[in-house]
Amino acid sequence: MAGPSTAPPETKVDVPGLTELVDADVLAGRKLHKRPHPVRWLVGALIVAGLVWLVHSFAQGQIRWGDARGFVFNHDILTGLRRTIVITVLSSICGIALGTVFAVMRLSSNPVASSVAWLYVWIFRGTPELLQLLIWFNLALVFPVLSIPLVGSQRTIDVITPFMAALIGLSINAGAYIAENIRGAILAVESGQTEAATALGLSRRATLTKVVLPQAMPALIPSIGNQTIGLLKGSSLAATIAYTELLGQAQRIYFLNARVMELLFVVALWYLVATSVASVLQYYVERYYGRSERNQRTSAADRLISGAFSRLRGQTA
Amino acid sequence: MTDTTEPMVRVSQIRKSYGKLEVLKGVSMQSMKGETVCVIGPSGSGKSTLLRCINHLERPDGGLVFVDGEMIGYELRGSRLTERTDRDVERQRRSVGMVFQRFNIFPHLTALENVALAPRSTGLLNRREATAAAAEQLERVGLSDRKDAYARQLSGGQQQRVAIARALAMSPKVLLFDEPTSALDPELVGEVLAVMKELAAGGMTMIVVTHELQFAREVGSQVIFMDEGAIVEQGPPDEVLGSPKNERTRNFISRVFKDDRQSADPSLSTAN
Repeated sequence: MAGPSTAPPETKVDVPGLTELVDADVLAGRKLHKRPHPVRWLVGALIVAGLVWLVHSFAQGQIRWGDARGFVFNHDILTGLRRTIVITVLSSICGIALGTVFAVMRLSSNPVASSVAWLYVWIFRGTPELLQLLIWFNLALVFPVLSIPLVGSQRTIDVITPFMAALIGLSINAGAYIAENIRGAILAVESGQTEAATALGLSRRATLTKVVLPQAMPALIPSIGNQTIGLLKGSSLAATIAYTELLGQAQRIYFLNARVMELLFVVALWYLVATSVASVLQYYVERYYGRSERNQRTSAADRLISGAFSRLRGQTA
Repeated sequence: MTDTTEPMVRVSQIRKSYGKLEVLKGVSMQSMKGETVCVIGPSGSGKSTLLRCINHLERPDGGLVFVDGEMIGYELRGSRLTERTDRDVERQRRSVGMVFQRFNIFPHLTALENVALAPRSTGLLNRREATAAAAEQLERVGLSDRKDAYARQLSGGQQQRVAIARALAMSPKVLLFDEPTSALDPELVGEVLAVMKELAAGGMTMIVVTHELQFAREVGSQVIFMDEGAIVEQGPPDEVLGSPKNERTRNFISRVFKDDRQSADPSLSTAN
């Protein structure tokens, strides 16, 4: 634009803080520093101090940490942990199965099926989980004998053991939430997809399994993962109906030795371990189903986990 | 089955309302084997609904559709016209291919899988045959090099060509196009129209709802102008587009041509 200049342009600049003019290029060669954050440092220090005080209080409190440590790998506690995992896995599977069936019923064009599905969600999402467990557990009060025609009959208390009551209660409750998640994820798939599949002559079933559900999966996995983690913790309610899972076992021990807080902290530790493992599994399942996603969405949590993993790998490498 | 005097598609007195709005007011039309019928008209005139009645995607309130002599969606049970079973309707849809305005490519599948899905899952072909047939159809629309691409990696024009290949894979007797180029960037319209022209030249029976009047004039065996749920005028393209008798047709055509000129894109008038 400008014609060729004969003399180099003046590069001296007047910078506040300096008494004389400096050469801009010389100044530009200097190292650049970040803006200091004194307030950030102060607030951070206060928070750390608070945390230290909190940890110190617990360390000095009337808790025998040595005893707690001893209970971490206690045989009964590990048995409880195993039961917690078993009931979580089983009720997740049953909950997903129930949820799928009721979600499809809810979206069905049969008004009876969709009303029944609505009723299911309304009842089991609308009442407390603990209450539901208590009702299942006490079913024998209503039906002393359970009989199925042609199969036979048995006393209800023999069938509805604490384990069965917990499994039924947790599965049905989870199923109600999962049904809503699945319904939402199916509805979020663009209607043109169903139309295209229908126009090709695909059956309703093939349209659902080959076209709609695979596309609903990326939206579904996070909510089902959260549901499973919820079940992991929610299974502790089963302790109240005499199913001795992790919390129940801890309670049985502290009723005898009165180390209440020690055992509760041990239980908390195991729940944290279990939910962390579940979160990592969820991350991998999400990544698997996200492969052919249209837009790769990454949340802060995703980045956190993947970042942590790559850092771990970096350190070991 | 196929009789040269019998139309491939016969639409008879189709009526359809959404609530109080009457979208189709007893529309009748027909298309002989190998014909390309172009349906034009302002939006909301019922063109798309008409198309969707032909493969029973939409259940008409009255009237009947016949494809290759077979009654679509309904059958006589005794003396009653009764809606067919799902299985029957699905079988009938397989002989009527459809291409949508918004492509509706399955985003979780590759181009090849998109084309192979229906032949495979309806039991028309086995896995190997379906894959081979899909590759063949993709080649036919000029996309043999994009077999493994997902929708998000394809341009709109390429996606629409995959959609055409997907419809062709079921070896349909007739292809329905619902504004196949309306969602495309102007420079991508030509490649899709070129594929459609080739199909028409190859003897495919096609019913095309479109705003591409140039395409209708060049390729159409007949042009139908619809407005407010009824056919206003129909006949050879030169007559309907060149010297329309009805005033509404004249207004519509001059409006569309004006828009074309304003968009000033060469690909619109010289699509191949």
